[in-house]
Amino acid sequence: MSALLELRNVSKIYKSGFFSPKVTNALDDFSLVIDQAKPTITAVVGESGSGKSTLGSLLMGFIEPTLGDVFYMGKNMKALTGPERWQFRQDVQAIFQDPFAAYNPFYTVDHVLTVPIRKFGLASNREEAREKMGDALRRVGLRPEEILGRYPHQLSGGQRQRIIVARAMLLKPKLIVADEPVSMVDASLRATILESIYTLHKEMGVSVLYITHDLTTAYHVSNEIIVLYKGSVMEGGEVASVVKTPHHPYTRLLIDSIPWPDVSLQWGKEPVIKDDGSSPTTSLGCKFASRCPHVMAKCRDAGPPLFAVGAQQASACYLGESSPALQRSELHKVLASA
Amino acid sequence: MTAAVPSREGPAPVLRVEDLCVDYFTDAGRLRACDQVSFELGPGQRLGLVGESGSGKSTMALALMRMIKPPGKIAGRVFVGDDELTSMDDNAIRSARMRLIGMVPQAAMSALNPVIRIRAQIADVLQVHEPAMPDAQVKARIAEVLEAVELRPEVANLYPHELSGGMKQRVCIAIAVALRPKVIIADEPTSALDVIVQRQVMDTIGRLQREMNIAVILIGHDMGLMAQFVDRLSVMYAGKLAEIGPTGELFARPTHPYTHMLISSLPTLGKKGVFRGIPGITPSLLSLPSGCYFRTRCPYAMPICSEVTPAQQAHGTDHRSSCHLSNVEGGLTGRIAAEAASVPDARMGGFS
Repeated sequence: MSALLELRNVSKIYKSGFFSPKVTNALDDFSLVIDQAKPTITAVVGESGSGKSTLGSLLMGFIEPTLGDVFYMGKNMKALTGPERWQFRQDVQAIFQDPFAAYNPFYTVDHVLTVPIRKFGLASNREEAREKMGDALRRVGLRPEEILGRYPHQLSGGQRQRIIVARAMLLKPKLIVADEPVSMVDASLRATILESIYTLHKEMGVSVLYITHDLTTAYHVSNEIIVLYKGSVMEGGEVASVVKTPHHPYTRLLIDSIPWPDVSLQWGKEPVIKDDGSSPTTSLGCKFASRCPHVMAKCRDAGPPLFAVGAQQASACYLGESSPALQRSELHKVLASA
Repeated sequence: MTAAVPSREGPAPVLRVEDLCVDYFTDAGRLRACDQVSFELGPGQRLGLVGESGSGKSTMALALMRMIKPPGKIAGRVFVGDDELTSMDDNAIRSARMRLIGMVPQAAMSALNPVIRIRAQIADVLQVHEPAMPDAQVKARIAEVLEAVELRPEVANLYPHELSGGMKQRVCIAIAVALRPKVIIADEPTSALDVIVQRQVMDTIGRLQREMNIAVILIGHDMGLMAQFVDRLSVMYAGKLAEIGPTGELFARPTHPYTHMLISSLPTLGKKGVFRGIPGITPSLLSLPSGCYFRTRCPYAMPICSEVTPAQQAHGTDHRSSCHLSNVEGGLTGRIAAEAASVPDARMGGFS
């Protein structure tokens, strides 16, 4: 099996409070396979609290799942040896949301580039290190002479975020987890940053997990998409079919809420039903039930499985009941054909 | 204090800004963050203000409320109704803020005091402006404004950390409208929220604008949100007003290349992989280029652009912009059409 990383029926449960713990199911029975042989860009979209960042942290090994297992190169993450873990750290790189917090303001921006070179022994001498840094910066569309030696506050948010992309590029990773990489950057600069991530994927064959709440950029950048809501997969599949012909009521609501830069399109035709907290929070019923305009009695009793509503599209909604059902762990089959 | 309102058709403007300038005097020299901005806003109108980071839009919003601190200095005049904010003394301006002109701050997450209940934070603005208000009335007003922003009255007893991002933003809106101002300035009110919550918050602002007839200035950098929400749109670049006009007209026939590029930098559901950012970055306000400030990033720059600063020109009623292309035959529309005809995919690409 050539899976770089595999999540198998993973759940992450957070508890807070001592006497009457409040249980939050951040991620619920989630399975995903990231193939090594065929690099893809997978978008994970959802609102705040949908578990998308939890998923990112699990893939980067920052947290361990409560239930289920994460496998790296076919080996359980809990059982990795020292050198294997070191390899994992190099193979999986992160790009975070905040281009301001990623830097130590006391160091020049060179620091974020020299540390990985030193730690992973990527260069044998100073000249080679400098060469590599310059090369990585040029590849993300920056001029090294304008960047190196500067302090973070002297650069714009867009430049800082592209340096982080360059840093990830230096390590020649196999997977990049980009957690909301453009949400804090001006709309007019988003395209340039996404372009550099895309170049990385295209030229170096890196898989990208693009975590975002912005369906429009997800549509343009990625090959496949997973829509999360309260820790469960609502819909997944090839990006164009999901975005253009959304099946799940939640995906439809998301797409309807995008403010398009076109005055002739009307914003928000579908009414937003407020969450009254009556949706089941366990894995028994559908979590979107209390906000769903098409809710049926059985939605609250038992959560729908995934239904293969298209060749490359699966939706966890009883509206697709006539289509063949899939196990939750079979999501990658729909994705892999994308 | 009162100034003669110029005779014009329709209702008198509720906000009038004349040649507003904000200068910062720094060690590196004088820096003009807001450069001779003039516009009017009718009662209950929705005006959008877009521009990239560093274009001076937040500075202008602060200057409207006279909240620029030294070494910043404000010049020009701002009127709300007949009251001139720029000539008031310190006590008068303190009472005018929130009463005449309210503000929804950018970061609702950090705008609320984390150790004080919501009730006290709303009561604060009421009691400062109307010290004689009896407690029972304060209590009633808090419930009323919370209801106006679609929050349950029990929210008053909570602390900010117990609220979601959308709820915190609603509390900030409640504080801004508590004294029923004539104008509210919303500075990127939804930039940290996801699309569904964004839509709900904007629905609330829109409803308050209609019901209480409050004029709204919406600041942001998302042209999509602007297209869906505002009646009139103004575009700022390097402290200057590049273009202002009715939203529909600006989208259909932009007359400033920056407006055109802002619109086309956004992804749509059209051809996959076709959307492109604006190359380059905003110039430093300490070393601005000669002539037109946008010429260093403008694909249509001509020799005249580096020599002469373009003057503002009217295009029909209520639509003006400052670009030399307006004097060229065909204007910007002609250039865009010619470009599209000669090299169909010149500005496309990106992710294909």
